[in-house]
Amino acid sequence: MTCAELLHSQAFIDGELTGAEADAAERHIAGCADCQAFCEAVAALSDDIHNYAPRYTAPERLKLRVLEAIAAADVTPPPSRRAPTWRRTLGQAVQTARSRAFLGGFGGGVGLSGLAAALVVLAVLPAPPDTLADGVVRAHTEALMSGKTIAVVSSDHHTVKPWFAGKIDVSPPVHDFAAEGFKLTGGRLDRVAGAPAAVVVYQHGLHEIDLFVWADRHQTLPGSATRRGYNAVYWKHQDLDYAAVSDMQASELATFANLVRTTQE
Amino acid sequence: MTDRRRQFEALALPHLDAAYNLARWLSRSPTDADDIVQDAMVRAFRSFEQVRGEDVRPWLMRIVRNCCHDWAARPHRRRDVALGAHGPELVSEEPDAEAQAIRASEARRLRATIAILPDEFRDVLILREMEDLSYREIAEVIQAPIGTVMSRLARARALLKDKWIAEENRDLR
Repeated sequence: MTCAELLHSQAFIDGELTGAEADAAERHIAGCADCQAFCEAVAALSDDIHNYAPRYTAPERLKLRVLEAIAAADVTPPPSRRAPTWRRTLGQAVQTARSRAFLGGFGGGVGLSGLAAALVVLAVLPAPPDTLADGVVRAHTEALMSGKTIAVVSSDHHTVKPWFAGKIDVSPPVHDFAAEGFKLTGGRLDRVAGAPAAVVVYQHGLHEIDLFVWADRHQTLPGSATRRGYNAVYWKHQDLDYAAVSDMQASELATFANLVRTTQE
Repeated sequence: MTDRRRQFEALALPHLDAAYNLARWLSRSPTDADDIVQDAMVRAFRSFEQVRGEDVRPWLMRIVRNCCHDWAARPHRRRDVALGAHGPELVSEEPDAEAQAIRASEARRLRATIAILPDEFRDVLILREMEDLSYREIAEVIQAPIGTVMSRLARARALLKDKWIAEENRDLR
């Protein structure tokens, strides 16, 4: 088994090759004793694994355990995200109340629902404009630094727009402005000040523009803002909030924002 | 129930069997596998915004695999070295008892052979042969280039072939 084409032959029987590559691999296997023997062995092994070592399936008790564990994790804020101290404390208080409610029967339940309600109210309080300006720029730069600015790569709005459906409850406007110098490159999901946002990504020369779109929560938008060299323009349209963010000049960003807004008129 | 939880359950629970199968084969212990899967699902729930539309399955498999490694690094973990001794019930088509017994012993032997493969070969083999993941998906799970996936898979198969088919031929002689 020392044929230099062995991995290629393996890729062929694993169904990883298509078209001309697959044809070439098939021709090679037909004329190579090593690869033929390897492929036969792989096929035989595959059959044996299927017959003699079937997959384990999760027992019902595990499924119940997992559901319980997720429910328990649902009340605590994720430790990775740096939640403000008061929110973390409140989260802990809810947990304590939970266990107390559990131990003390129904009596403690009132305290629990009261605290939980308080937590919900605090969580949906609109973010102040300042926080919002920071949040959008932070989301933009974090995405740039992680290299994960685009989850769906496409310059076709017929691909990008439907990609958001089912992933997020807002449907952002998706248009290609390549003719105007702003090329549609894709989209992703992100969060702005704690709320899920759809992000449509554009390219302008070497600059990347993120267009954040999220459901309006009656908060005051900053209009425009500059944070750490990044410019952002904000506006509302119907029940959605918009923010365009980029490191390009404010005037160019305004041009882009206006292009998007003209499609909304 | 929060929307976030509902969304996660719809996304991840369909892959619970795949998660469990991987954890069983990597940990080689039914009790550890339970704990690992629970741990992995909670971790996944805490960070599932990161998936960003990528395929959920390889992402979840990656978390399960990481949990297996964390678990193996613990000093006082429970360990029932099963080495394939316990397995899912095989659906037997053979009518007579002798054929059934042979089949059961073959199954034990193959599972034991897979169970003693080195870790880095066992995981790619399980992901490919049992979970039907593509090379690209396996590469995502083990966080390695596709070339590494291909060479490890070939090596895993060669090792398994030597241990399993060779032994089978010896039995026939």
